Amino acid sequence: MSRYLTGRIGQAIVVVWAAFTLAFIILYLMPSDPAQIIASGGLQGDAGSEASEQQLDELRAQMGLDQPVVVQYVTRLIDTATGNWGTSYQTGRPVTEMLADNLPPTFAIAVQGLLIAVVVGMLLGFVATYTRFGPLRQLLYSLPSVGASIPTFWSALLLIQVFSFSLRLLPAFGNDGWTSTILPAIALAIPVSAIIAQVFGKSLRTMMAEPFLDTARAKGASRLRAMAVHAARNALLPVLTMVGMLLGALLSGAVVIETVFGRQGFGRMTVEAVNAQDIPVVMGVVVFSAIVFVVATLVVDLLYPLLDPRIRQTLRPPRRLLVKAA
Amino acid sequence: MNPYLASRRGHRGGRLTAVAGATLAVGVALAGCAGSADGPETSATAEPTPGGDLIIGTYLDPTCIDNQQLGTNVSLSITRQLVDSLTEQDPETGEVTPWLAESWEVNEDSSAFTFALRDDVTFSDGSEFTAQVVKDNIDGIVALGAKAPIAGPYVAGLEAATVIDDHTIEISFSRPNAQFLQATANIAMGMVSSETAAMTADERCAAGVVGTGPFVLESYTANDATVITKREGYDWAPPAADHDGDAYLDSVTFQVLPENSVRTGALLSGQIDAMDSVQQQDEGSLSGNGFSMVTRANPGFAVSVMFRLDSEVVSDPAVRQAMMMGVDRADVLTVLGPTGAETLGVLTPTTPGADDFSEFLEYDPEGAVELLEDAGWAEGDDGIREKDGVRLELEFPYFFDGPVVELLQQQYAEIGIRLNTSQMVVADFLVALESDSFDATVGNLTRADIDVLRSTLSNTGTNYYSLADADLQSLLEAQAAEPDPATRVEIAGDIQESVLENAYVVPLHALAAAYAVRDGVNDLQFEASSRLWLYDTWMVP
Amino acid sequence: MITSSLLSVRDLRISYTSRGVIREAVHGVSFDIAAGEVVAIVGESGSGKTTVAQSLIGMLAHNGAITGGSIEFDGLNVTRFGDRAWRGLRGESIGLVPQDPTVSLNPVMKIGSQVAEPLRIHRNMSKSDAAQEAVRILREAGLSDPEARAEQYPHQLSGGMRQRVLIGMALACTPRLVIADEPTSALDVTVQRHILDHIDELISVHDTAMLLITHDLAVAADRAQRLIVMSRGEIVEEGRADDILSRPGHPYTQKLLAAAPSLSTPSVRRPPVLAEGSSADDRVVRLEHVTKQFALPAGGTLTAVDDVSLDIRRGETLGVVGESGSGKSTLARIVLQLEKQTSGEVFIDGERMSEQGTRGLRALRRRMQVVYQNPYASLDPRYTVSAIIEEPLRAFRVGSRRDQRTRVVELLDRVSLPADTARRRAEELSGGQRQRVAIARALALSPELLVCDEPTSALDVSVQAQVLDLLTELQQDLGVTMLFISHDLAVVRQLSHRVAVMQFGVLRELGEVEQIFSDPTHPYTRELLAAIPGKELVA
Repeated sequence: MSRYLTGRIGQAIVVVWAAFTLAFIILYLMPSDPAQIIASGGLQGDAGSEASEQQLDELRAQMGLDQPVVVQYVTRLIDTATGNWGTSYQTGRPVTEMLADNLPPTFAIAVQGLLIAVVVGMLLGFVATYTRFGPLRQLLYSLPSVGASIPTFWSALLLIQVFSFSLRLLPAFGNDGWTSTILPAIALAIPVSAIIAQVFGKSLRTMMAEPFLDTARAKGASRLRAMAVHAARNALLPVLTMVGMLLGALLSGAVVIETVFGRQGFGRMTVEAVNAQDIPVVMGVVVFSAIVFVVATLVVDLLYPLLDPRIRQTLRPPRRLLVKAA
Repeated sequence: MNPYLASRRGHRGGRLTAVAGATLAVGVALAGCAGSADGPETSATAEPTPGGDLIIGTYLDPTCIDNQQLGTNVSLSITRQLVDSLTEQDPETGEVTPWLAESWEVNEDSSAFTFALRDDVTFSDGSEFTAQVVKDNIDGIVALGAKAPIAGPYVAGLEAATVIDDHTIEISFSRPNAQFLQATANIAMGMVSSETAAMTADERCAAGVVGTGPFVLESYTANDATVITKREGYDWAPPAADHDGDAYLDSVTFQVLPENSVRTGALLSGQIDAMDSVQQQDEGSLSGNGFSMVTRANPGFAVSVMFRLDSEVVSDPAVRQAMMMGVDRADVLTVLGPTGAETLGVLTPTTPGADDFSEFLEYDPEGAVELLEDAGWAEGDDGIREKDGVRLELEFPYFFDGPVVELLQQQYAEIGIRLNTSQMVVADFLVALESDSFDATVGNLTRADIDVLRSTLSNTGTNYYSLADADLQSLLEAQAAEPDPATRVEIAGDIQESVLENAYVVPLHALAAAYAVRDGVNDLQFEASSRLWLYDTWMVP
Repeated sequence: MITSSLLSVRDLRISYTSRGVIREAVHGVSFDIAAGEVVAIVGESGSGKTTVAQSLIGMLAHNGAITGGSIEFDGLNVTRFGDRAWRGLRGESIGLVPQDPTVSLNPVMKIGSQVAEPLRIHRNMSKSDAAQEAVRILREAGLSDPEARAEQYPHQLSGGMRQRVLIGMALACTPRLVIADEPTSALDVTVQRHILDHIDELISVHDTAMLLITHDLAVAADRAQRLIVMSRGEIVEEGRADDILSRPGHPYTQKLLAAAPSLSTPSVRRPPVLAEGSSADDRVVRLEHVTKQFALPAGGTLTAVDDVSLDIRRGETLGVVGESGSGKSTLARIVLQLEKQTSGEVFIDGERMSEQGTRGLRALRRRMQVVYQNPYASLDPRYTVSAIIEEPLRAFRVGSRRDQRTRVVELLDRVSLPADTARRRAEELSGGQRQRVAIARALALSPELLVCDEPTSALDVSVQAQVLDLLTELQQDLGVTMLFISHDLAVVRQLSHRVAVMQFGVLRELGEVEQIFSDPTHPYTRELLAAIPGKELVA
């Protein structure tokens, strides 16, 4: 087991390193000049481009951009590995601090959204498979496609209109306490629950066709019991795989929700950093996301044996007692 | 009527464009002009009461609370409340009045400025405001280098900042620097504490600036909200202010709400008290029924089509002049709604020294076509003109003012000019400018001083627009060196005429600060550069 | 009307609806089962026996329905019962022992809970009471250490143990009738015997009636008092087991009897005599002390083949018999050099295999061909038959395209398939036809050695007979040397000259076929022989 773990951790390091290197290459290949972007003040209104070449050079030297590319790469690699992730060109704050500030709000809505999605999605998938009523089943089968096609932007605005502006039940923005996470979490949950509903539903239907379901029914189990007790447990595995992947995707995909709801967050930080070519932040985001994905998949893999006893057992030699009867 | 009309000009008979359905914002904005009879507490004669926490929804995050580093509308509207400047510019008259400096002397050729400072000013960290502090500020600005994109150019050519005594400082330049006095009134040259001035750029962003202003920074949460709170013991308001002593508001929260409909909805549902950047489609619901608009046009260089003058297509003056005549500015203003305002020349109406050049800005598509035909640009099969095998197509990258650019595309298509527009983020836009792969774009610069012409049109520096007119350049330098304000205005007139006659740029419109407030928020004011000034603002819950 | 019958089926008709088309699968079947009686329904695939069994417990496929006749169970007319009504009967009054123990248990649920389930559903027992009862049931089902077993999961048990669990589960509430659907066809023959014995015991103790569904006439003959023979949705013959077997009335029953190898008297068919011109020294295959070990992921090794030495003479058929885990398939793969042995030498036609490079191996492959067990898996269903048979010719570039086409027709003829089969796709053919195609493919290169790995195990009895006949013919006509792997002793007996018996990778016995069958020396061989069903009935 520990050999397995060390193997996986080794793999993880390689993945993160590869992501880092790839991001570095892409960022440095881009033609724009971060020094100029800062000197231009983001062109948001008032700065002329009057910085002298000398001032720009000084700025570039400050940012370490005047070194040869290889030196920059190695420096950054070593720094990142030792925990120094640099300071943002835009805000001047350490990247690690920015991550520490921006992750919790995104995490809050991502985790909540995921939980809602799992519950709603599984419920939807279950009812869709269980019901015998044709029209209802058709409706429930089509909901996932609808849910996945609704742009989060639109659903977020709709939620705000209804629950915040009209009914005045929940806040439309900010990060003040638990109530402000509800609407964003719901908006996030809609497409995710669609995916889960479909995966779980399909998985359930596959399980329902398995022979051991017949055995269960032959014992007198009701259809509900057969589905809920026998099929559902087996159908969970693909859902678990999805959840691992989805959490990583949710963290970065929340940018639209964060923008609409006026929340600080990982997604927005990323988009702004990319637009401004804020290299330290972008690199930090890439490395962090790689780590998240790797950890999530590892956790999922470790959780699998808990759900499926067959995986729990490493292969043992077949017993010589196979043929002997009692 | 243009309050800044210089006396020399008189009425030029320019046509003041009637704007259908657009809110013209010219002149000083006073808050609380509730249109209808709603709102019991909106009477302008009511007495201001202290107290209240104002929440303003903004469309952009300030990113860094440092007036000397960042010059976006939002960040300056915040930092204006935190820092005071040496001088203040009266938003109505444009006159430079005392503030932290009680009086000053300028030498003959405007190359040396001596300020006598107040002696009763302290920073929010307790430190005293002295001449040394001013020197530290200037040194700090120089040290920021390229990271002080606005203030840096103001002190270009600095020779020395000399502390004469505790409350007297002399700032001298190696050449005449007529714009410097107005510069000292700008938010970007607001005074920060010596401790702040000594920090690196990053540290300053991380900590926020410490200033002498009526408010103090309480917290800044990126992409969420900035909170500033009242500074107790504030006692050095400029003369233009309506009262003395502490500000009325207890606190102001700038809540970042980038999505227009959310910002509007938040205001309408009472979750915020005011909002900026009111779009054209929301204006209707925010005028009356408990809300009102507060707007002011930005001073400075109007939003204009900026040409790269040595590009093949655009180097032909007929093309540029046709483009000047081919814009229906009334339509432009309709599209913009409250975030835009009319401009009568290269300088916008709220710029001290602006004038009425509207005869250049008349919409005359037939005249434009005639001009092009005469110059040999014949209409091609697809409606786009051609001359000697060259199509009248312009590469047009841009990063703001999208709706107007799209409108331009349509309008120019009617006279046979094609704009190949591409919206970009700042990073890519700068690359496009650098690499000469563009023919024209839109640009502007906000500042309440004529020198804004030089900032934009001077060909020292990067000269993206390939300006080469030597006469124009000497005029630009001349106004920079001219100590007499009236003469400066005259030179400014000459500059504008030259620019407009040659169609070096095509002025389109002015930007405008467009705020909406709920009834009960009174005296939301703008300072001279159309950024918020909340010292006199008071609210009724 | 025999009202004392426990189960009374009258003129039962069942139809399936597919894409709007209704197809009747069972055409008016009638029979009775008395309390405590054991009745077997025998038939091949497509006979409708499984459909009938499903209808007796209300578990027809969702597109199937009873379209005529009636079913009466214990005085209740259950023909029109809905799912809810059936639920009361299933597990409580009627039990079902499913066919395949590998897939019939919930893999993520403990054995104990699964066995306890019918008790909790029908008897409303508490969790702990049911758990205790479950342990008792497991013990009664013949499992050693039932407390431990109850805490285990299905994959931790062997096939035989799992089937015992399923039997225990089916009998948990002591139903009046238990339906056993091919309860042992997935098991080794020795295990099969034990399981069937055990079922007999249990049902006699509780006086349970049993309906045994099987394709194996021998098993039916052994275990049932009455036999019902079904073909194509109809009952063709019915009566007491010994009556039917000694005097089969219907031609179909006769055909079944004739085809079932284990019931044939030894005089019916003899394996052919060795071809002329082969001497005892001319050995095509020779294995010397061959051992094959696999490394297990958890550490340790599995010895699949343990020091086996044998040879196959030219022109002879060597049958290798063993149960699952005996190593016979691994042995075949080693002969074909698809696996490399861990130690020992393999000689093909005198050539030492370990010295061969890839080129040499390839050349040798030409001379050895394989026919696999599952004709549904060994042929690419999208290929046409001619493409399948041509493939070896193409791979070794034998002859021109025209020659290859001709050869295909030749081979089809040899395996008694019509020439136009060449144009059809594999997926259109039946199992028997596919296996013939597989044999044709194997013969395409005129190999010297033909390895047959359970070639008839997946086929119906009558089809099996045909394929075996074909192989016998080929043996005689072509003089091909054969290595024939099977778990079915009776089949091996029909075809082989010599027989090798394997158990746990070890060669237990090797000898002439008649000697093995009439006078086996090793105790394991004896056990195997004793387990063959139907032996007792043969004179």
